[in-house]
Amino acid sequence: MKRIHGRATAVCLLAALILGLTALYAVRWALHGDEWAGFPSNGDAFLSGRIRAGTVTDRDGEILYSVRDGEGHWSEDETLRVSSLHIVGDRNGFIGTGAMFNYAQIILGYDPVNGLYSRNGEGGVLHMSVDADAQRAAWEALDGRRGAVTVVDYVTGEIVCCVSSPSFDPEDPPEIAADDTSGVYLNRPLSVTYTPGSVFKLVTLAAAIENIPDLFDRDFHCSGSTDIGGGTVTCTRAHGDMKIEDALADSCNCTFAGLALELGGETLKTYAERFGLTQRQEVDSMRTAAGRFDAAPDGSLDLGWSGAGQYKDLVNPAAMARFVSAIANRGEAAKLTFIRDDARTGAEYERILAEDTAERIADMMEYAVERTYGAEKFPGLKLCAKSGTAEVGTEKPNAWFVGFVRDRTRPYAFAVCLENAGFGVAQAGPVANEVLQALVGQ
Amino acid sequence: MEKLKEALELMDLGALSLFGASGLITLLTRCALPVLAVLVLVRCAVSMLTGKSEREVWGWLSLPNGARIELTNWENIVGRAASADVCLNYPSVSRTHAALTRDPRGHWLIQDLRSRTGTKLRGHALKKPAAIHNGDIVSFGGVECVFIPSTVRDEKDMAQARIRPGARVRPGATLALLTEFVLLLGIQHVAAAGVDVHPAVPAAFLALIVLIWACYAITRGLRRTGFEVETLAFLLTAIGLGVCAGSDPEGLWKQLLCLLAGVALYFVIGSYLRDLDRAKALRKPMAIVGILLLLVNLVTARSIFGAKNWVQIGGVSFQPSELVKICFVFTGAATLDRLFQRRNLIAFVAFAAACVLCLAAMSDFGTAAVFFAAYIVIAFMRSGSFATVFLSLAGTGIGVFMVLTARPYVLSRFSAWGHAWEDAQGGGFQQTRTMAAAASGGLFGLGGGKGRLHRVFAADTDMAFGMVAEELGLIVAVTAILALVLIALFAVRSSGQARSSFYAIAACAGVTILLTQLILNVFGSVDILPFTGVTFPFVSKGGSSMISVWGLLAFVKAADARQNASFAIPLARKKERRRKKSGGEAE
Repeated sequence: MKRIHGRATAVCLLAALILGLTALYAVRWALHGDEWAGFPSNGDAFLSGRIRAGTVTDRDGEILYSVRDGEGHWSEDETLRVSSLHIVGDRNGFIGTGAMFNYAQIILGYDPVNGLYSRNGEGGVLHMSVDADAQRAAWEALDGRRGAVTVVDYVTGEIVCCVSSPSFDPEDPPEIAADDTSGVYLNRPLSVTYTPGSVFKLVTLAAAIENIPDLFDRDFHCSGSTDIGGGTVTCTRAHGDMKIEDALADSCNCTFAGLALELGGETLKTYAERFGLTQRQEVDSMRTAAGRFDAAPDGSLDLGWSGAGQYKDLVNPAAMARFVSAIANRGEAAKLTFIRDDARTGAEYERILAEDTAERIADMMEYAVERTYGAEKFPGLKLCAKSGTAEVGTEKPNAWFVGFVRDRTRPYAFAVCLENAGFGVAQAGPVANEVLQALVGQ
Repeated sequence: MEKLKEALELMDLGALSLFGASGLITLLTRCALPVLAVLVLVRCAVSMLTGKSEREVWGWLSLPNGARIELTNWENIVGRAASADVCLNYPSVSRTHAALTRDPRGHWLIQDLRSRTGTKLRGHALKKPAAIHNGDIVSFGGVECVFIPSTVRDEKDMAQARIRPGARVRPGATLALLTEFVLLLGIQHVAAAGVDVHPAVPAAFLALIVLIWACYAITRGLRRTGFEVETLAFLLTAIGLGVCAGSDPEGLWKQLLCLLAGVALYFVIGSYLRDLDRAKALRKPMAIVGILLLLVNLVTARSIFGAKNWVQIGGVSFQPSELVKICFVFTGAATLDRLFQRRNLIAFVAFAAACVLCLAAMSDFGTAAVFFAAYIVIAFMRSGSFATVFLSLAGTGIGVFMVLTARPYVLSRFSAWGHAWEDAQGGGFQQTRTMAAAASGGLFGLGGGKGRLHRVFAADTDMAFGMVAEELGLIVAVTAILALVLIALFAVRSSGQARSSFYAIAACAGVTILLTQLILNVFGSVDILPFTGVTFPFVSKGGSSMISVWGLLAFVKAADARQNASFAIPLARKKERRRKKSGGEAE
């Protein structure tokens, strides 16, 4: 019987296996329970695609969405409802970037001890990083034009404004045809890519600063066009003799095409990658669309245009805002988030630019505002910016305006892009100003 | 500070009027259930696993040097090996020399186990098993010993001296805690259902309480005090009733009926196992019944939910493979004398292979795996040979590989394993919902009847762990796992004291079946193992399953040789009466 007893301990192996697997499960549960609970098919969290409990507010506590007595209600303010549709979510769950799906565990008030149990049935509160006034200002400034407005706090990485147009009122959704091509469900700041045009010159400039030692001593000349690889790069006018600062302020295509040729396609591609413009950027549990940069053959016309943000170049607005926020934040890009960081400690940074390079670009962007865009159009803001007018085939160009407030107490970096709206600074500049004024005016 | 505020808010009775009665009941009871479950578990664990194990003594061998060696089982191996029950460290004694076995009526047999130097009884060389009596001189390779069996008087004294379970940890108090658990769980379910509550819900929980105390009364009536195994099984059963109440209140009637049948079977099998000879005789009929059941199943089965393991008779569908588990344990168990005959093991291997192949033919791979695990444990316990185990594993591995090569679609059923979240609407459908529900429950659960996982297909069987974790929380869910593990560890501990290896092997095989089902059910449903869809013993809804797990539990009870612990083991005094009838031989 002693032997049988000894052999019986084989059963202990099974018991040990169970204990080990239970421990493994408990660890997974502790690490991922919040994601599991927020799963859109979790019946305890959602009722036919609608979250069962909780509240979503802007950064100051203004309600964006709230579930009361089992019924979900958006803000009472129609402008806020429409402008925040893409970050809050719609009634049918068609908008993939909605907070209802991506932050369900916070909205429902998940914690490992209580799970989704809520004593008073109210669930939790998600304090989003967006500012309701900025949302409204952006929507009104867009004035029906299609496009994306993204503003990032470059110190914390919090997205303080994220507006996508076209939009609709989630309390009174219109009939939207199945074959609708407007992309009304797309959250443009996160989910689309646009041809960047001249705002991409910031990338070419950064590469030039770090690879061409005598860049700032050079004299450039623009006669209005330059012949490259059997084709022609043109400017809106002949900019004449200038230094690099003026080339940026004037957004001289000839100069930047020349720099692109000098740097080569592979170098530019490396910089576009380093700045996170060609990869998907993480925004909490979401990812932005990935941009594109194709290295054109050396000496080609395509290479020249690619350095000026044309050719096959594509960027995502939020990724662009992140790149600009790194210029503003001495070369370090904070990880983007939609969650208000109450402790203001949680930011994760990635250095994508040398501090020296970042400061020089910032100086030149500030110079561009003073010389070209007009500082008086942005009253009270110490603005650094770059405009872009991106040619998109036969239609009117996309109007870009990116930049930041050079003041760490008002650390706003922005990327505004209006589709087929026309000239960059003229169209997108005022939108940026309205949003920034709404943010700093508080 | 935050915690304090939280606690104060909890106290705020004014706010409570805002919820319905069901919310209030959940609020007040949701922390009580995990506490009660853990207390029941801990009390049982202390009673089952701690304290010194007091062996029974059934006789002695008196050595030439005057030392007396105790015979602590009904089956004793005499030999030079340290693992022998009677260790005679003399060069002329073989490592495994002879076996001394006692039958239920107190008759002893001695048998030479092909020793090098032979065994002599009363001076005559032993050719075949022979009866041995008080004072007989037996020589193991020249080492002469005197055999002294215990007398009825000895056995009565022993029974008096040994500690009875329940003396340190009172089973009545544990049952009171369990009763409270069942009561609160029932109240939660009734409150959650509100005025439309199905009458089966309160009836089932009250019936369970009555059943628990009735079983305890029977046990005490038989002057037995060990009730830990039953207590744990009833804890699991209560949790299982909660699962059924959450998903299918109407089905509680059937579940309750099958529970009664299961408990009845438990007492029947347990009583039958009291007599080792009777139990041994059942082995062959059980093997035949088992194979027949599977064959009938194979021929007439209807395919329900993918596997063809259901048979319908007179409008009632049941799973024969569940009952075959009991046949399997009966067939696999063996007394010491049979362990030394290779022929017996080969017969069992053939039987086991037939069972596993039948199940595989029904596409019931989960149950096939359960039987295979039980086979491995039985084969190892019978042979003690790692070679047997490795050969079996290798052979099965090749078989599985060949099946998968010939029929790759079998594999596609398990394609989502390990990445359920990437295929949440396809192969990972059930696993992702189980995990989501389990997370929703947190540590303390949403409250009985408040879960929503039951709307997913097969939630109350294959995903029972998720339902428990959702409604009662992770603590109760893990307690349920540990309750089964505890029963298994108890079976292992008991197997050292079991009177016969028949009981030890049967108990270990029984708990292996329970544990393997638990592993496949729980860890399959949370995507740690492939999702196979076997039941969580005692917890999953299912009549055949409920009957068979209670039947298997009887084997654990039959190995529990603590004094006055188990109804499946006869008491000393009864033996006296029987022995008087047969002439008082041992006197």
